[in-house]
This record gives sequence, structure tokens and C-alpha cells, in this order.
Amino acid sequence: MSQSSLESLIAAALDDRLDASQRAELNQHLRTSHEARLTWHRLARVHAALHRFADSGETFTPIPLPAPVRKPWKMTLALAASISLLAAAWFYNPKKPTGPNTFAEITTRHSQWEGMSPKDGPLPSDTPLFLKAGFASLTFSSGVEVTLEAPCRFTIHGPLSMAVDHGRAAIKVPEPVDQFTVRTPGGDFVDLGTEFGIAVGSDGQAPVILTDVYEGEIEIRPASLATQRLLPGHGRALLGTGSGAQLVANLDSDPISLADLHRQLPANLPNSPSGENLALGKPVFAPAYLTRPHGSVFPPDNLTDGRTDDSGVPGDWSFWLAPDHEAGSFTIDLLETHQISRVDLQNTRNRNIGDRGLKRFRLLISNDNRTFTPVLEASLYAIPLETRSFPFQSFSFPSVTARYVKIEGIDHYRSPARPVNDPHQGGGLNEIRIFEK
Amino acid sequence: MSEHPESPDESLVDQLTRHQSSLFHYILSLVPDRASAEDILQETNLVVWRKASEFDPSLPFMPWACRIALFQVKAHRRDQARDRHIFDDDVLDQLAGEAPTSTEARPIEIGLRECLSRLPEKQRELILARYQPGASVDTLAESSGLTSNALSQSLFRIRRALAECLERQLRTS
Repeated sequence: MSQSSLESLIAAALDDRLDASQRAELNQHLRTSHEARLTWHRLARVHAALHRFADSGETFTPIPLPAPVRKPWKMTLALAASISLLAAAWFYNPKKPTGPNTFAEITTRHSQWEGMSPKDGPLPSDTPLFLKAGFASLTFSSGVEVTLEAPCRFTIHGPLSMAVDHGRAAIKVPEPVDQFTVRTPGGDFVDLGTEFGIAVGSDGQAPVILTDVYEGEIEIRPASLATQRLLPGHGRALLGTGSGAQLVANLDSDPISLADLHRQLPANLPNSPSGENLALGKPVFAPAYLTRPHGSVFPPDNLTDGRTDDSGVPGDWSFWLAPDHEAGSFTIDLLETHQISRVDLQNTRNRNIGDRGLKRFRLLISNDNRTFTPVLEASLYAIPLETRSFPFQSFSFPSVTARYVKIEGIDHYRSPARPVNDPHQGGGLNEIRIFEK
Repeated sequence: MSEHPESPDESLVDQLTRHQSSLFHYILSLVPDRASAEDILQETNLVVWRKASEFDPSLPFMPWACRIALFQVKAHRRDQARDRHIFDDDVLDQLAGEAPTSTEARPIEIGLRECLSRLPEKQRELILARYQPGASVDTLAESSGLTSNALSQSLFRIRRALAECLERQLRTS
């Protein structure tokens, strides 16, 4: 018998969970091994001391206390009775929310909700929620912590399970929890006591789910594929469902990575605009944009959607990418004429090799969408790979009247990792903000 | 010989009171169920009291009391259905023969406090919850959302860490 199986039997014995065959196995080992009997006595000693500590009725403080006052044996029944009253008030995890159907507490940052709008505190289970903007963190009664990035549709099912139907989540499962399950439209992702990220999206017809392990190990359990274990540095995309499902390590030419996921609630909403952003939510037109299979679609509307940094999920990314080989261009319709004197641009970059961001650009304005007047020509910084919060760059100019604002890319950043003849290169931009002042 | 020897009764009361924890440790190493161990301890106390006249105060108390406790353990087992016994009779005798009867429980319990303070908070909360009166692995698993098996294994890992820490504590104390 191995040490681990002996320990497993002893664990069952101490917790009154031995079945008949395990009992026989434990006895046989103890009968024949002096070492096993020593192991038993070592653990039984801890078992007894823990019972005695509990019997003392004292609560634990990290500072070592004097030895408990031993109760005369005649007092033990009375003591047990009083302790049972304390036991009625006992609850294992002080963070556990109250109420019969709450398994998690929520803390939000700059959140906007569609439908039910939960307040910070206990969160109802089995209730679908849609975080439309901002961030939220969930602290489960099991100790599991989940950070959500908008837009995210999710449901709490229990202390060890939740569903993410759409959106990004970072899951941290501390010891001694062994498993936490994230249900998605493509299958279950089971955290085996570790930290991992997930981005649940779609290609328009079938789910596309990206996952990346930061520490430890997870199991991917697609409905129709064999379970696969995943270690750090081996991101995967689960494509589709049913018999057509597949698990891949690359999308297009890029390895799967969720390196830019928020793994904890940001202290402040990054890059809050200064002043009224006239471009927010306004329509954007582009002659073309990058589209590839599996939800790798990057339309120009992403430029004014208010979502910053490298965020989003397949089919719903937060940034715009020009078609391959082009720096690209796009035009924002402010829907009415405005006096404008500043644009703030947030560049983008490929999260694996750092290319794709716009380098030089021209800004032009128009009131009829036909005749455009150049306003400025400038350069954007490349965003380093190690940067997780992307900076905005401001470009001011003398105030002009405009309804249409056009950005023309002149060139874009490249990476030595993509040869000159590599087809997968072009311009991109994350967000544009336009201000009167 | 003391100039004013205590009466045998006073000496026995003192010994019995001082060794309650040690006796509990001994009994629990043979019958790991807490409620059964408490019952057996109470029975042992009564028998020790009844046999007070047989106690020789010049000899160590614990080996004598442990023999009585072992007899009570066996009596308890006779009253139980056999399938409730964790240990077979021969294994019980082996364990009883090797159980430390001279070890004071007090340094163990002081050492445990120190070791508990070194555990990560979550592990400490979990192990203390398991030992609250009335708690069981099944109820704890239900409230914490773990399977009973997973929880039992987690508890075991914590106990093992405590055992290792406790040995270091006892070596240096």
C-alpha cells in the first residue's frame, strides 16, 4: 500500500467515513506495519488536540494563548451543552453571505447593468445577470474569487459553480477548494485549485471559448470531446458544440492568450474620459475591416463602444482592426455638427507579439461626408507587450466645426515575429474619443 | 516520604483531573469518534474512582489509568455492533500497546495553538470548523459546497501539516 492510500484511509477513519472494505484495508496495513501505526498515532494526536481545542470553547486568535484551563471531568457534560449552543451560531466561512440562496457576494466598479441591477453584497443564485459596463468581483462562500469584465452575462449556481454565457472572467480557486466549475455554452471548465481566465464568445452561430491558465491546472470538459487537462502557457480555444466541436491551440496564426485579462478588480476605472466624449456610441464607417473565422471579427463600431484596453471575446472584441496589409481608415458620424478641438486615441497591439497598432495617421473633418479637410498628422506610440492598461494620447488642434471625423492610417507597427510577406499584418486602433475642448 | 502525606483520595482526584486530556488523547487514538471517546472517558473516570483503593500513589498514574481506559474501550466495543468497530481486536491491542501513555497532553495542546496560528487563514477556518461540536464532514461539505471526499482529503492535508509542525514544536520546547 502506498503512503498516499494509507493517508487516505486514515483521513476516512478520522472523519468517520470508512466503508467495510476500507476498514479491512486499514486494519491490514496497521497490523503489518509499525510505520503505519506510528503514522496513525501522529495523526490521532492532532485529532485529539483539535477536539480539545474546540472543547475549550475559545475562539482562535493568531497570537499564541496560554494553555486552556483544563475542565474537571465532572464538568464535561455541562461544558458540552454550552458548547452546543455556540455551535448553533457557528458558520464555517465568515464571508459566506446570509440567506438560503446566496452563495456569493458581489463588489462592483463603475458598473452598469441591463435588467436586474444588483447592489454590492449578497447575490441571488440561479438568476441570470448582465453586466453591461464596468467590472465586478464575486467572492463565493467557498472562497473562490471571480473577476468579471463587462459585457458579461453570468449566473451563480452554487458555491462551486457558475455559468458564463458571454464575457470574460478570471477565476481564482484557493486551497482547500479542489474544484470550481464554470459552465459555458461549449462545455464545462473546471478549475482544479488554481487561477485561470476565460473569454466566452461566438462566431455568430456556435460558441468560441478561449481559456488561458495562469497557475495550476484546469480541466476542459466539452460535451462531446474527451476531457483535457491544461497547464499554464497552453491556452486553448473550444470551438463549436456537438460532434463538430474541436479544441485548438491557435486561432489563425496566433496562439491563444488571455494575458490582458483583469485578474482582480481595478482600483479605478482605467482611462476615464476628461470631458464629454462626443464620439461615444456614435456610428463608425470603414471601407473594410478584418474578419476571420471563429469570431475573429473587428468592426469599426468597436472604436466608439466605450470599451478600452485589450478586452472582449470572440465575436465581440473591443478594438478595430484594418484588413490585412492595410493601415486602414474609418469615419465617425457625430450625427450633428459640433465644435471640436481634441481627439484622444487609444492604440492597440497584438497580445502575443505586439504588432497591429496604428503608427502614423491623418485626422480629417467634414460636414457633408464628401469633402474632407486635413486637421493634423501625427504618430501614436506602440504599446509595449508588458503594458496591461493602455494609455490614451491626446491630440489638440484649433477648434473646428465638424460632423464627420475621419482617421486615415499612414502606416502601422510591425513585429519581427511576422515576416514582411506574412499575410496577417495590418493597422488597428482600440478607441477614439472626441471633445469640444 | 512526605511529612504530611495527602490522603489517597486527594491524590487520585488531583491525578485524574490533571490527566483528563492525556486520557482523552489515549482513548481517541483507539476510538476516533469523539462522542464515543467522551463516553469512554466518563466510564474510565468512574472506574478509576471505584478502584481508588488499588491505586499506588508511588507509581505513575497514566499507565494504570490507561489499562482501565483500554478495558473500557473494549467494553464499549462489546456494546457496539461489530461493523461499527474501526479496528479489529488484534490491531486494537497493537495500537494500545504502542500508544504513548507517558506523554503529557498539555505541551501538545499548547503546540497545536502555535501551529494553528501558522496555518493559512482559510485552512485554519476549515479545520476549526470541522472540530466544532456537532460538526461533521457531511454537513460542513454541504455548507462549503465541497464534496465530502474532497473535504476529507483537504482536512487530512491540514492535519498532516499540523502533525509535522507539532513535532517540530515538541522537539524545540
